[in-house]
Amino acid sequence: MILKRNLSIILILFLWQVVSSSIPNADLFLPSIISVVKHILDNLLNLPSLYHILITLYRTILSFLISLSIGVSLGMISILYPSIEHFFRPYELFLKAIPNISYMFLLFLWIPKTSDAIYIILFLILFPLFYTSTLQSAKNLDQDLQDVLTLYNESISNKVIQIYLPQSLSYIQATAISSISLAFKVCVMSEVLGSVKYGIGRMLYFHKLSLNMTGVFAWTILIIVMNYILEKCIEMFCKIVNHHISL
Amino acid sequence: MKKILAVILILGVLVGCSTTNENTDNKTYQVLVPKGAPALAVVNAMTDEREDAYTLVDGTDIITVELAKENSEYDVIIAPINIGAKLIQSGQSSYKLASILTWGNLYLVGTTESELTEPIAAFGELAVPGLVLEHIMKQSGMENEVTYYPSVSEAQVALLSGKSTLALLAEPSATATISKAKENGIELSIKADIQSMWEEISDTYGYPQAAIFIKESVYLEDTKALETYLNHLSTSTTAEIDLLTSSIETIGPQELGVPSTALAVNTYSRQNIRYVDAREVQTEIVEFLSIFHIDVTDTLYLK
Repeated sequence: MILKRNLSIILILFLWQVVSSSIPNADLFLPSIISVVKHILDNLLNLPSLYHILITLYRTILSFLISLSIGVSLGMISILYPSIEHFFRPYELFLKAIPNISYMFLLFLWIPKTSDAIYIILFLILFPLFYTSTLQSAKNLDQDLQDVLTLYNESISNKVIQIYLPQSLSYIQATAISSISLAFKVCVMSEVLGSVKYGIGRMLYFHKLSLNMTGVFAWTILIIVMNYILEKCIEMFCKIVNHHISL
Repeated sequence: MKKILAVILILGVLVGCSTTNENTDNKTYQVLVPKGAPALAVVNAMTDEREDAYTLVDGTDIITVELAKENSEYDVIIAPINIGAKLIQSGQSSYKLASILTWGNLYLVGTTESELTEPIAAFGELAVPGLVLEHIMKQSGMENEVTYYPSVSEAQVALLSGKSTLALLAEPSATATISKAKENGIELSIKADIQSMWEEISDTYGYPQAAIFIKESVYLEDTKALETYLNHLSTSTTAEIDLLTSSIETIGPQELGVPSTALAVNTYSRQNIRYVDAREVQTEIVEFLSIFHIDVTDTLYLK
């Protein structure tokens, strides 16, 4: 499987280089792999670039953690008190339906500092995902367990710690793995549209304005790599959590 | 017999000459134009008796691609001068710079009490507006705090909401903002003309913004026809109100990328639409392109 994966990557790189070599003005449309790699080595592995990367990572991870905490907590409360679930239902549908770009247009107008607006944008996009997945976990609870909960009047803390949290763990983990890359991409896009002072989005926008497609490609490759690393980190963290629970 | 032949020869020459003239007059061009001030600059030409084909586009992405294409269908492309110059100087375009069409439309708008030393709400940080503002501030020793917003709309809102008392705006947004503020009982006015400030610090004619780029092969194929077209464009950039109004109405303000016919006509003079041959303003071009770190050589210009 690893060999097949590597072969497909090699094929993409080969096709990229072939197409780049055959089109006129390749620097503008499809820079060569060598020029992109050179740009990464010359311009991305330095302190200013690292600062931009760290800022974007900070925005993504902080918003991700806040959305996860509030989404799961509110989800648990809604499981325990169905009236709260009914109350939040319209907001849940509302937040899930609004396109990401609408959030950006509106919040950049309403919030004085665009960098602050980015945290709120990410929260509004991620929170419904965690909230919904937590709720779903309760709805898919084994019927026998539900009967036990009905029969035995367990305390709220016992219900949450012994039943609902463990039950929801796999749902939350799946959501976390899929949403971290969404968060990262939305963060970069918000930085581009928001004209922030620091962040990967700013660098992408700067290179685009300067018609430096090699730079755009280089930063895009970096985004792909960072997305992969973030997903792997979340997967590893989930494995550690599952391991501790099984102990 | 000889007389008959002579007459036929003379007639043939006359027909040939008239045919040549007709070809020059009838030669039409495919023209690509970005919406906004450049489209407004050529609106009269779009509605006259010539049959050139004008394509209006939003933004500059398509324009960049067409300038860089080897076989673009467009004979003439109107584009921001920095984009065209960058491609030509890096050998990535078969077009050449012929003339300048617009000369900047940026203004500082503020309340009656605001001073020019106050913080500025601006837009386009890494683009022409931001770079021009920063260049002027650096050269004239201005030390205002500048807050950049994602677009002119947000800078406009910052001014209207009172978050800022001074904003960098582009026409026709500047006039639209002043009108909107008046409706809400706020008095705003144009506090400074960025173009004039540029002229003062650089001692030049102004800074060029939209330029006309011609495909070099088209120019070489029929120089006379192209010069006829360029002369025609030059004379069509008139601010004569009735003609302008009717042209804008014919094409449609939205199609041109302007808010309304009235606003476009009222702000026409402040959009600094002036056709000038590029060779006549080389100093201005070099000065402006230096803020983009673009070195200008003779290869930029149409011969």
